[in-house]
Amino acid sequence: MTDVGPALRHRDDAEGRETLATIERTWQSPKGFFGWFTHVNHTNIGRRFVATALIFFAIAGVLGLLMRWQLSAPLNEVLDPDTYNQVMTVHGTAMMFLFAIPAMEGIAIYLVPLMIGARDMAFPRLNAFGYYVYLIGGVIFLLSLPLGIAPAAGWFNYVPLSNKEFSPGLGVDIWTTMITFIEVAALTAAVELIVTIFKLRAPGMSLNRMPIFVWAVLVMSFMILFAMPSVIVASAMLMMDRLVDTQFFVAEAGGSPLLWQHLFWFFGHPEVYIIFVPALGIVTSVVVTFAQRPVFGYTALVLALVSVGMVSFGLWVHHMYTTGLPFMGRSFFMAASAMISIPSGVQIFCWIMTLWGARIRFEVPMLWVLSFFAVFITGGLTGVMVASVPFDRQVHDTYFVVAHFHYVLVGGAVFPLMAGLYYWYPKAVGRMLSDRMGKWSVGLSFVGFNLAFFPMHQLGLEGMPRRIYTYLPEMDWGFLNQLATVGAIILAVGFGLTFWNLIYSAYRGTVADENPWNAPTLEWATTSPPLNCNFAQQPVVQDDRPLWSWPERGKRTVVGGLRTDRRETMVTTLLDARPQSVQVLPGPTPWPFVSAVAASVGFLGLIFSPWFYLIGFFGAFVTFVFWFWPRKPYRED
Amino acid sequence: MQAESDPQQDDLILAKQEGREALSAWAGWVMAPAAWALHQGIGYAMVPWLCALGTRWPYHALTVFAVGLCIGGALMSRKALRRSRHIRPEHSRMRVRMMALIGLMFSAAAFGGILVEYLPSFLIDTCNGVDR
Repeated sequence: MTDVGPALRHRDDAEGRETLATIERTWQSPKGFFGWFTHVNHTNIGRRFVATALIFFAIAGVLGLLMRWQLSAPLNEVLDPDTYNQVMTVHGTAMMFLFAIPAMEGIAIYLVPLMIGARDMAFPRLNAFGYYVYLIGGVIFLLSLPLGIAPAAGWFNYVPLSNKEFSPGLGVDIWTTMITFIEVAALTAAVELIVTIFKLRAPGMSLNRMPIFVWAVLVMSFMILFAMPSVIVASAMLMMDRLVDTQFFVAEAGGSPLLWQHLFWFFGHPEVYIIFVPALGIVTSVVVTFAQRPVFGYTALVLALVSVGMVSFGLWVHHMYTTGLPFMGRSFFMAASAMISIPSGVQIFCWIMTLWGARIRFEVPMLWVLSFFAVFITGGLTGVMVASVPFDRQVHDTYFVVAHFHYVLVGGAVFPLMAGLYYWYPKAVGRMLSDRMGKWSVGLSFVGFNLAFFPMHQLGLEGMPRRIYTYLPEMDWGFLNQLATVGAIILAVGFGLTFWNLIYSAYRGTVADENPWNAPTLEWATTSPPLNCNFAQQPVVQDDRPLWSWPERGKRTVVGGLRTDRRETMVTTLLDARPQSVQVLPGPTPWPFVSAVAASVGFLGLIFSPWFYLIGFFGAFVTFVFWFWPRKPYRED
Repeated sequence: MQAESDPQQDDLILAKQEGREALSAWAGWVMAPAAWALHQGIGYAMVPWLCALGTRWPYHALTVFAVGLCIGGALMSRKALRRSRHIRPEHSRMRVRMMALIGLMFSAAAFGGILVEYLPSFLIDTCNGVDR
């Protein structure tokens, strides 16, 4: 390791510039249309994940608006019952599976290697494969709606409603196969994020020096590993019930419909926290930067993150309080559901203490975070209410629950995600987002959100059931529904402004320097946007806020000795991040894309015939062989 | 004359030390959630069986086992915390200290969780709602 000057760059002389140019050539992604399908760099794949997720978010948002339009007045006829059910199902499924998880994973894929001072993810090709799987699965799933064959049994697909008898047609088949397929993408991302965090951290970045965001991504990845198999198994069983007449969920044949609910919610509840946990990491990053002081209670925050991840797996039965489970069984889950508010409270107090007495800069990311505090705490309070069995039995399947989970999901995940977009956009694009548009966007979203979803608490208490496509005028729910619809439109304008801001500022935004917010973490140590290789020389870390301590130390230490003519990154030990070896990373290739296409042919075909399982299997196998064919550096070695 | 230190040998010693510490440092992280999850999962699954048997002793035994696991995790974390005083370099010491502290607090939290889930069994009719 060698000491260099104030930047993580090579010397600014002819030799230094030549070295940097060589590294950049080595890490460059091919250009052009066909080149696009060969990219493997994490910055490219992460950006694609986020962009695709945002497009899916916009589509699912429009579906939400359609639902609000239909419900804005009693006996409205904007959507017929079957179309409403399809719209509702696709809205929920797209928001959860196509937007929330991939957006968080995309941000993680983009940021984690930069934050830990690595040059790329541990498995760049797997990264690309995951993206194509997600893209193909998502597009096919969404296409089912305009084709009129979308699933209509809700995002939860309860049996027996989703059995062949009550849901004929291809809708549920599309849901089961595409969701299983898309979850493969989530699993690949989780695996590589875990390996990257454990093994590719910059020398010196021991576990206690990892940014909280990286901890949050680590917890999220482990949660995905444990939760996703459950929904994959459940949807595979439902697929088989519908396709080859197995009877897993058919009560008359000795199957158990309740088993579906157990399997689905064993995934479904942690899913909420899979989305929420990385959002906590984003909030911490923003709070630290805009308070300009280290986070209060680093250890407590890590403990809280891990506790949330753990306890979230012990709550699933609270979605099933009304299914006739034994008293004692329910009491376990009531206790656990109330218990999860403790680590969540710890986090809130850590953030408050970080902000307490600080000279807070009220920039747009910070305003999103403040909105998050208000909305999420409200959602958390109603969460404690519905955790209680007697209360839950009163409001179960009413709009109270719809209000609660939107407060938690939008407040707990989408607002922080917006904060993250405004915060890291300058790093990813090299330009600042418009501050004025950003402030309008926060204001409108906050007002619109509360106007849309707060009245739903009252609607629920008045007994308005969920999942209904209309209601009678005598029920007197019209005014509050109208209010909610107006709120939804304002919310859409608020988010729409951010979308426009993202596009507009990419061309017209003020040029951003390396560290426009004066943040302390490593992603801000490189150029904006980052170099192809992330860092010309990998940094060495001496504390948990390197960018604030480097000026104090007067120097930065970097890793030396890596080859410039091939893609190399440091491998370090799991606990203390001591240098261990060098990993040679693979270059651009089209095989992950071809493999994803082969696998999607298999999954899509499964909707029509079980034989496609074999076709997909062999197709994927052949493409994997080409994918893993020994590549040049190893042959040379 | 002082012998020159071999960097490779030093690395090996450090790696061995890291491996030894890892077990006790991770103990609380693994044992506490395992104890809580076992208690909740098995406890939930055994309710109909307990009602058929007409006794709660297996559930009490499960609780004792889970609490034992928690205490085991806490003790190992405490041991790691005490040992951390002798660990060099400084950042390794801080890392072990953080992991051990979290393990200790995790064990306490899991113990609380088990207790909160266990106590209602004395207050409510265990078998209410069970098909017999």
